[in-house]
Amino acid sequence: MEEQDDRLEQTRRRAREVFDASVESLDAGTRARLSRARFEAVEAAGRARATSWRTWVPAAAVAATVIVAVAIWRMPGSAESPVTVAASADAALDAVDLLADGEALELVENDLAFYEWLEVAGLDAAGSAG
Amino acid sequence: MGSFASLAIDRTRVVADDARSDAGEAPLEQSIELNRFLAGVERSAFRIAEMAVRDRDDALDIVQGAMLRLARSYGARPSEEWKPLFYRILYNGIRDSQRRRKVRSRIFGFFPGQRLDDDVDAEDPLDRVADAGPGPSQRVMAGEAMKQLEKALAGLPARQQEAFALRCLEGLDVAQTATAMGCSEGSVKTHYFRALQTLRERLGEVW
Repeated sequence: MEEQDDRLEQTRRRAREVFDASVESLDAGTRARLSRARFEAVEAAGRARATSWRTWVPAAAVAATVIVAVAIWRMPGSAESPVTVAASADAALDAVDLLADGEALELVENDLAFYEWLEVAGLDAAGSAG
Repeated sequence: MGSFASLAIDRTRVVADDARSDAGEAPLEQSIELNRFLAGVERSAFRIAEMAVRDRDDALDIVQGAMLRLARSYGARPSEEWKPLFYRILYNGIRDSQRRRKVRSRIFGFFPGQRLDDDVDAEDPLDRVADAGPGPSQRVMAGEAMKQLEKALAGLPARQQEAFALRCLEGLDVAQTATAMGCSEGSVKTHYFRALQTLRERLGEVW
């Protein structure tokens, strides 16, 4: 078994030597053509990098803009939500109704407790809607 | 833990690469690295292609195609990945060329007077570049031994030839050879061992 391994190792080594020698003995014309092909490949890699950079930068800029816009729109507290706005509008309309009513106006003039009630009622209306 | 650490190292490397890229160093470094890699493999890749297709011009085209494909598609990948990728592309090119040759020989088989290599180019000026390689006698000896090796290799099944060329002649390890051949490491070991055995039987007396 060991002898067989040695023979195989010998074959491997010899094959490698012969191959390396054949690589070394390549004629100058072939070597020059391989070098020229290599320069073209390295140049092509540079072009590919530049192309991918030019393609991705505008796309990334558009994507980033969209993300920022959506984030701002969805950010809590950046604007009142539609529900809060509707509740405030309802409370204001109630107050206008009360003020437009002559009887209520009389109450307002005579009773300070009415102010307190109006305030609490207005808060309640906004709280229950929210 | 190990994988976490390696992830952290990778991340650091990516950040460092980005920083270099900002400074405009990365493309230059990458070009230098790619040039160095291709210079290291181009001649042996050419010999391997030439052995497989038995035509100098076809072999040059195959190597040139493999270099371009690697540079365009994988030039931005880490350089450790280039070797198996390059040889995978090279062998795809070799197989394509062999297929085309078979089809051409079938087609032109119907026209006995037609030359198979009718697309011979005009003489390339690079073919006349002065030669500074080994002397004639060394070339003859190397040439004879190489012919014997080529003949013995040609008698092997395609996958055994591939495994032998990549493992023994190109010096790829088992994992790299498996990636290049698109098969398991076990298959690589089997193909390589059988190839070596057969070559030993065929070349043992001559060498």
